Amino acid sequence: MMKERSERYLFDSERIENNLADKNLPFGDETPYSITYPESNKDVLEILNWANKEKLKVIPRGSMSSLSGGACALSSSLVINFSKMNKIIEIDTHDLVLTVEPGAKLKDIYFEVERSGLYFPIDSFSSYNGTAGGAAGENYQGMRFAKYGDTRLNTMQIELVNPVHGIVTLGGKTVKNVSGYDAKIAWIGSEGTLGIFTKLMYKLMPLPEKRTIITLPFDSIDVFFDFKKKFDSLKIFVSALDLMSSKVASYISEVSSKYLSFVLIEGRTLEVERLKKEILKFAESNKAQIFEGNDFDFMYKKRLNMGEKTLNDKLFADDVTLPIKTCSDFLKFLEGRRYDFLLHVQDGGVLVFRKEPPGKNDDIYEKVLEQNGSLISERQLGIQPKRELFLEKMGSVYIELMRSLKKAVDPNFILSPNRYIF
Amino acid sequence: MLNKVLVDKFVSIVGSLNVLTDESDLLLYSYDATQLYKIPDLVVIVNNAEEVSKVIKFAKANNLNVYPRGSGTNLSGGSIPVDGGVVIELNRLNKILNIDVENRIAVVEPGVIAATLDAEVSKKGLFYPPDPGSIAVATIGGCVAEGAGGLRALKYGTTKDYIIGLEVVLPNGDILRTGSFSSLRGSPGFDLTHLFVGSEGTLGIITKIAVKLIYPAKSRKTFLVMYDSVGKAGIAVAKIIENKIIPSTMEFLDKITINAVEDFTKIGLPRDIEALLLIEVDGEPEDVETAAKILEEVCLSVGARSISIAKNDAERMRLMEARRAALPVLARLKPTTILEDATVPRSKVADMLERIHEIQDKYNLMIGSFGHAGDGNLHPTILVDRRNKEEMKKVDMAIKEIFDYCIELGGTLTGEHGIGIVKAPFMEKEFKKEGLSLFRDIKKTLDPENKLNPNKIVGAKEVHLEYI
Amino acid sequence: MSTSSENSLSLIEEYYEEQIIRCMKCGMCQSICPVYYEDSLETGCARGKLALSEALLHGKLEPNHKIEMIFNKCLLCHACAQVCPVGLSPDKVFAAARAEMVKRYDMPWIKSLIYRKLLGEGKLSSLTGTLSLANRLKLFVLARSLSIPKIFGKSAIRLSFATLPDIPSKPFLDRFPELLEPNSKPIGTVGYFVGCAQNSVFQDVSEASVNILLALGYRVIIPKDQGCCGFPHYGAGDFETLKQKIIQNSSAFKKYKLDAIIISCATGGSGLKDVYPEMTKEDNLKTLGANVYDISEFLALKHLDDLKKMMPTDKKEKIKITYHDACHLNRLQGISSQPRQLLRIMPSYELVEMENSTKCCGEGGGFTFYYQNISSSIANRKKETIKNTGAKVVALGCPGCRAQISGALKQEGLDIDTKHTVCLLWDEIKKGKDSNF
Repeated sequence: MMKERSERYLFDSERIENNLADKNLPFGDETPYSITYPESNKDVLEILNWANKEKLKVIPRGSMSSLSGGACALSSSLVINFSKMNKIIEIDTHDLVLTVEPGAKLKDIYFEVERSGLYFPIDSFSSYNGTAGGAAGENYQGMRFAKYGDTRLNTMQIELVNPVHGIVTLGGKTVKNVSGYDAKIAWIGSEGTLGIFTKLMYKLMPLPEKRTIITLPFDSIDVFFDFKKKFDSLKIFVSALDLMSSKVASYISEVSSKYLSFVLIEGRTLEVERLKKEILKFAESNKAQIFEGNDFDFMYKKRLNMGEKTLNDKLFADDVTLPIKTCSDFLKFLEGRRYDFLLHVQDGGVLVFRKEPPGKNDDIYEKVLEQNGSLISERQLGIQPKRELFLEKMGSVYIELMRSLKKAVDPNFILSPNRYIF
Repeated sequence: MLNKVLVDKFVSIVGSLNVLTDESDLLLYSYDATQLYKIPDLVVIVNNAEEVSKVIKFAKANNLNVYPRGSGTNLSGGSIPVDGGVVIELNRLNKILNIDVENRIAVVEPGVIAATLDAEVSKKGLFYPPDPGSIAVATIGGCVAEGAGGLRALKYGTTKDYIIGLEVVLPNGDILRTGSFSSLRGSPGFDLTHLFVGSEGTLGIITKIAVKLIYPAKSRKTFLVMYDSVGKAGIAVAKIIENKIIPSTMEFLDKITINAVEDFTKIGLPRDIEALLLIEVDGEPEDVETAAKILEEVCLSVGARSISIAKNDAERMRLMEARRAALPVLARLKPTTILEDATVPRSKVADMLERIHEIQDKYNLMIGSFGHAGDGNLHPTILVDRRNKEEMKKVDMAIKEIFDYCIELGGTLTGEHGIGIVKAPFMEKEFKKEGLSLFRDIKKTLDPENKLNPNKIVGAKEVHLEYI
Repeated sequence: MSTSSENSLSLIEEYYEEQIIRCMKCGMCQSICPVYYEDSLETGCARGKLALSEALLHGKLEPNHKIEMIFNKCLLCHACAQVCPVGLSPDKVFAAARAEMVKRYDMPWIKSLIYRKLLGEGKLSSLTGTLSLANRLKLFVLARSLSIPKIFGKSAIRLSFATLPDIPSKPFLDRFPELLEPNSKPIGTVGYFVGCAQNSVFQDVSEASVNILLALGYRVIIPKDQGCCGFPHYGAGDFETLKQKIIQNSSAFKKYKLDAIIISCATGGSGLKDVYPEMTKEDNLKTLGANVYDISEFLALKHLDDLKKMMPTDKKEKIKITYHDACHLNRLQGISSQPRQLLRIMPSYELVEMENSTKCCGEGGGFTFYYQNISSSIANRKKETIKNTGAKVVALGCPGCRAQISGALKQEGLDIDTKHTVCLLWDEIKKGKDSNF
């Protein structure tokens, strides 16, 4: 069967090597058995059925942008590359949903959706080059999480393939849906370990009337949190409110202060104007910068691109979450260790910039768990060392249950091996 | 009836006052708001998660089915003990354990009444949006198990959007924690939290819930808009969305409902309009101002017969009264009320309504339709007398046709009531063999012996129940 | 008046089958039922008891004592009727169900003693005499401290007996003449319905009521052959005695030409206005010869200005007072603004509203004996809301509430008086007379 499909399967090592990802990533590829490029859900099903029979492990891959290493190839695996399944199938402006193939690039999606006057507010720090399938497999929780949620809460429908049940469609265009089990959400973030997505439907919303970015310099963490307290009195979520250390901030702006706050405000024109005023008032700074119109587009893209830039400079953005009220102390702790950071102020997600992925005994994780935080904030565990810590933390009941579920949909354990908890 | 040895063991777990064996008690735990019933063998009232675990373990060891229950107000038969066994009553686990204002997280026990949670978080300046019709009596555990919706789903989402962590007792008695109880982000991997949300008590019994809270809107404007045709109302809804307005509420009443409301409340609704929309926009003051102006223009441009805007809270209550009175007034028209839950994509609401009217005429049944036009979740309400067996047969056929068309339009069997027993027969039509197979396997993985709330959602066998 | 047929469940059938079948099991009754709030058991709420009624009606269950007790698990507070989407009055179904149980099992001797003998006989002399003697001998104080008799248990009612005012040895009907003329030309003639509590234990209420009516210029007729209104019997399921009482009271009052019949008891008032027409299928005008008013309703409606003129004028520091809405005044008769209007014209008092003033006190007739713990628990909640107002007096219009609430307050040793609105009004009028002379 493989020979029949030879144009879709790459066998000679040189061709395979040329098609693998850039070796600059923190988690490199081993040379896989082969790479295949399906063009439809039926192709994927055929591949899976065959791989299952041969007990050959498979690894779905989008653009390999996630820093979790979730799409890294293993030597005995078959990489399923979705770059040929990259269409935006439909943008439904009445029911406000977007239907895409998993290989569709987020960049393209943002462009098309905004052209239709709509908005898809899902991103992840390192994944401006990511794909729709990656967003689902990794459950991107980006800078706009506090206001708009993550991929899970913006997913309307999934089409899923596994070797036992074949092609299953769950969910639909209805805003409300409690029929059956809410598997469409449960599968998001499972990193391909329990099924491979072949079609995704996401929620869209109207593109905000006005969009503004403000950057505010701060020289002390305490002063920033005083500002945050005043901001909290507005009792509103802005699209994004981040605090970054100067090294990180330098990727989007010239920075002369120790920290830079990045504020993204979106909404009705009058509302945005008022919030702008309030925020500037609270910040008490004459070095605030405002980006609107064309400047906005420029800064916005820069912000979304940050992840790639930091990676090029060999900075690994480790993601964790802290309960909101412990954030101030955590940042000071990071400072003590001289780690650069980016904090999503409204929900406690933190990116800690390291030279390489921290080992599982890293004291960052100790601190996070001590404060009842979470070991991730933007993407999944993938093959990062901290996944072992997660395994230890979760305990046997969880592991037993997940293994049973895995067995039910992937009895030969071929889907995305050696990542997450499997 | 269970033998004394078994009963005594349950007594040793929860105390004799918390084990109900009397006929009259058993009858009272046999039904829910579907009005269908089946008498259980025993009722056990628990007070904490450990007791739930012990009861489940003991029941399992003795091959007894277990049926979790909150207030027993669900509309799909989820609380009904269909195949004999033990009802576990959870409404004594009714404490709000913590409301953390800075982290915006509340941790509650499943027996807390949803309206109580709503009121308590409001006191702290926060907001828990899901507001199902039964909010005053449904438990939050029930809301989570059913995935309860409400009037604000279009803008704010439903219960599933606000649950970040759960403590669940699995069918084998193990206690599992999913998600997070302290941080808003995180929750690596397969999202077990959302597998249990909406699982209708078939995969595990929820004993603790971590809820995410948001800020309340600062301003709102309420409109009552009347249309001479359902089609026009449908166009209005579409145009509102096109104009980038996401109202927090967009409710609909059909002619039968409008007339019933006018009969009882006499608030001056015209009797010949075909559609009434109750629309509310909320948010920051500027947003509401702008949205309200556009909304008014849009509604009129489509040809509204009239539009009333509430000038203050009292007027708002008056306008909301028409919508809130919908179910009560319809329920008074005939002895038996059967409330259905057909959900379609918003763009198909007008089509669905037209078909419902056709079905009404075909079977000569009285059906008043009202519901959440904004999210496509309609409630065709069938008014009959259940003592009339002929009529009841027609009701079954009408319901089947409604579901068939609903799925044809790309909709789903239930938007907020759950599948339970009543919609289980239609599951294959919507999910096909593959989907059903997946659901069955999920169920089998968690509950291999099918002892936890069996015959719901993916029922192994057909169930025929009587009305109580 | 219809008579019951031989069929054992005929009462429920006769009156209420349509009600029972319409219950949609939506559970809204749970949101407001004070009993359900305490133990969250389905037997507590209306929906459960309606399911039980239906089961009995259609032979799914056989009546038994356990079921009898479940029907007794209701305060008859009517709150469920207010929230029921279908507009049912479940409390009425349960009263009929109780009557069914009485028909089947009759009443235990003590209930028979209370309802048929003591409350059933005409002037309630034996009841009054006994209670008066017992009170003077401080028997109740003794009973409280020794926790006997067991029948009272921990209920607030038990303590209330230790808070009773002095009870005259003769009932009110023996102490006052049948016809009382005012000092000036009568502006009208009203009948006064005394009611069992106001005739025996709480005679201060009937005295105050009659005196106020006279002071306003009414000729007051207190028919001597009147008896208990029969509501306690309605609530206990003793429909036979209830019907006797209706006949007795009808004949007592109909012989006079009255402009109105006044009653100072919330339960009695709802008994006359609501239960009598339910039983007789005719209105009060036909059964009793005149329309019935609660005293606060009557005074506020017709004589607010007159009463204002009778108030004392010397300025003293205002005492904080709060008002408890009896279920049978507020829900069954729609009377809640009128007592407040009366309280507001009293210069000695400043009205402070308590939270949840309309929540039941938990007395519920026999309920407080059948379900002592729940009754006490409900009473304690009422006590807390009263305490939180900082008031020194709680005004109300029902003897059951008065006994329950004063007992609960006493239980915590609180220095808060419990008084009927008209007693407070009469005290003010007396002060007014003094200050005006």
